[in-house]
Amino acid sequence: MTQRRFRMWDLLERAGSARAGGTLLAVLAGASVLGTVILQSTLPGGSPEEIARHYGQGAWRVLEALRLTDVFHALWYQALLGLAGLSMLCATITRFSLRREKIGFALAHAGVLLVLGGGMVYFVRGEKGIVTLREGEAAGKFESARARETRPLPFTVKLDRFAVEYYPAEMVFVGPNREAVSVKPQAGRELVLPWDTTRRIRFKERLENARRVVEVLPGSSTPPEPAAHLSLETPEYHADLWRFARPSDAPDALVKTDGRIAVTFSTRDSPVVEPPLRTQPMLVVINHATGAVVEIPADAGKMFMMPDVTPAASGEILEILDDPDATAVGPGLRLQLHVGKRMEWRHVFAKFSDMDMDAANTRLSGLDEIGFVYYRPRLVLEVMEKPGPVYQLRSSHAAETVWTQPMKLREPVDVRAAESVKVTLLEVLPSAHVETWYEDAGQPTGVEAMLLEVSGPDGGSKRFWMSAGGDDGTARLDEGLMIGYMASPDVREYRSEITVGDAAGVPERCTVRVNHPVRRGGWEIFQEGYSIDGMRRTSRLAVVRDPGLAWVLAGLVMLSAGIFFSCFLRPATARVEDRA
Amino acid sequence: MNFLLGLSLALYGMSGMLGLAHSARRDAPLFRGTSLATLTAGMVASALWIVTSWHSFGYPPFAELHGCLVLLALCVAMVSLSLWLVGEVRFVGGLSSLAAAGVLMVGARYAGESRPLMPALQSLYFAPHVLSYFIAYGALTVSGLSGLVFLAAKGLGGKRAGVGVFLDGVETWIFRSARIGFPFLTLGLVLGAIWAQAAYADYWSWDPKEVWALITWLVVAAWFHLWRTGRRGVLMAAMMVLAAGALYFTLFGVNFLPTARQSLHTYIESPNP
Repeated sequence: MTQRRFRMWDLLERAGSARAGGTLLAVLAGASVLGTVILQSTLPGGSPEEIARHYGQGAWRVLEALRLTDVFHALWYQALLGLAGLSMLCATITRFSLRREKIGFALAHAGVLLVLGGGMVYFVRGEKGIVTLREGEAAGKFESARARETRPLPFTVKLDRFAVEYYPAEMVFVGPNREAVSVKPQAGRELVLPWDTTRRIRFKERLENARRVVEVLPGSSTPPEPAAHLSLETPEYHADLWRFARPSDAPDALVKTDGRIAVTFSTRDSPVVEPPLRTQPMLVVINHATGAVVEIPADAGKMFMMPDVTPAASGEILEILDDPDATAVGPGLRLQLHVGKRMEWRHVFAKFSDMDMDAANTRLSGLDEIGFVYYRPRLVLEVMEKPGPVYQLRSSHAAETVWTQPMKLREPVDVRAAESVKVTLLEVLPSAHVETWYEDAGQPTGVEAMLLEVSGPDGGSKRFWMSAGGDDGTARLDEGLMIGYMASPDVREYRSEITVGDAAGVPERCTVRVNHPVRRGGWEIFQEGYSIDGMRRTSRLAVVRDPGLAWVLAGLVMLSAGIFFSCFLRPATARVEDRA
Repeated sequence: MNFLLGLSLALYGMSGMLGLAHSARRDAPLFRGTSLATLTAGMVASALWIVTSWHSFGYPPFAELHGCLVLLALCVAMVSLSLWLVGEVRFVGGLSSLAAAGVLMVGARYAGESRPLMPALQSLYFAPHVLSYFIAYGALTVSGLSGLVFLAAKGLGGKRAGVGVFLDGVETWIFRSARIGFPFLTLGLVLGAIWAQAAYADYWSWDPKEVWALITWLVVAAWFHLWRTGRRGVLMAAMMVLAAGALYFTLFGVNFLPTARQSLHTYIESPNP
């Protein structure tokens, strides 16, 4: 019996010997190398098709059979880890001692065992996955990373708001001989240009989240610039807009319109080139190889065939994207296109300019060009001065007047070209100018604006607003100075403001940022990533339940402490034996 | 090149030459003193650069390869200096100073505009993680160099007169510098895991960069286990050279792996050579 116990102990000692441990660690290192030189199915871009294409079908089958395309989750690798764990366990049992020179040894080996144990607890009882939410959306389930399926969460997560913040913008000042100085402008600071010390640039006010405000004011512009204030009433929306008589000379004070109706204000001496009259937004599909064109009304759910395409290609309008913020791309369509067996999703946008009827085209995989055009009637408001000012609304088609209608101030007029659209002339200014400034938007807009005061070489000074990377991103003051204001491409922070709620508890609002997860019950919610597609912001949150995490963290701390103790604090007697 | 870094490079280089001269002429104590003095001065210049950059950026200058390599050179010099102070480093000392100069020279190629910190790097773990790792890199560089010296001397025939001088005590230096490196290598790995848990919701994700950090740690850990069994000689020296190689592969080589395009994290932005 004693003999047998002795043998058992001997076996444990051998399994836990430094020699066995060292060999196992070296073998584990070699096995790990395999998982970095062979494409892994668990990493992005590791679908079976991609890996098979990379190595060829035959080689891929061999790799797959040996689990070499997922080394770290393969049974043989886990078995190696298990063996190393067993060896450590044996070492800890056979050589455990509270003697000072053994403390480091015990801490380090027990630490690794805890890490492996914690990892196993996660493997058995842990869950991890992704919740993808658009602003305003809520979810009570997640895409499990391991099970590759949707699983329920014990609470709901609602994304109230998602915000991306960028690093401060940079301002560049360029002199007459292309001398340049760039600064990160700060409110209250002052800059003296090195090449012209008579000029002073004062940064008066800086807005991190700015909104542009445009106002038309009566003013003494030379030559006089008449402007009309119009109200547009349609079943879907109401628009309040200013129009200048010569929009090509003066900036348009566009308040809101949806691109279906353009209104131009003209006096008799400013001719207007008229586009075709249509009220229905149209999708235009052009095959540039054959010149064939298909035009269909842009309604959600409409199917269409692409002209002269082999193999046959078709599409469907999935969704009409409105353009609430009046961005440069204008309203758009989301399309689903079938080309042979391939399926693609595309966005096409109408260009959003009253003066320009060009379609915004997008090339589809070298096959077709798909254009999405909003045809608009051109309504012209005319002012005739004799005898006295007379206003009339005129609609035209191909430079030919279709109808005219006299207008009186504050009396709505039905637009005959566009059903159920009323236009009211609110006010006419014989001479007007536009003023633009920025105000705090009160929410993250991603637009930074700065109020500057620049003193000129003649002693006078000028105050004006600029916005980083926007329409007011550059300013040429005179021959001697040009200013550029450029937004930084570097993201400083992104965060999700979420509401977490469950059946029992009160909904709780919290903010999740990178490096700052939120705890809820046994779960943690992390900011994993985001995507911005057009105007839609999508936040990717990771949700994790890991009952073994505390073990792992404790084990990691013990491991470091143990090795520090062994290498730096071991008593001199123990160190002597290490000497060569 | 930045003035402080240029100065540092010149001083490391001088220290290396003087250190080598010292190993050839051990009867001239002047070489030892001047080598140590120039090495210290070079370290002070590099440390000043790090402190001033940290202050002007507002964050540790280790987000780009340039700053990392300045720190690495400083750590190589620091470990070499601490070994000098414990005893006779001789050949390895001069070689380490030259290695520090070499690292700094490579680092100069990557100098450029610094980009502000991305969200994941804005963490309290950032500076300690990088500092631990580079102390480990410095120590294991010295250890690997000692291993190379040992292997070269053995290859040239250790018994022959003149060559034996290089073998004398070199194994002790392999061990001593590894003993500095291993705890910091472990701490760096552990801090990285804890940080990844907070930033990526995962203390370990088998990313190629992580795996190579683990491989390095495994080789060094295996080396210590075998050292404990009393094994010495060519195998141990070769293994330490291998460990140092794995370490540098983690820093530079991972980008060349077929799995690199699958890597989730790029800890260091790609350089602009």
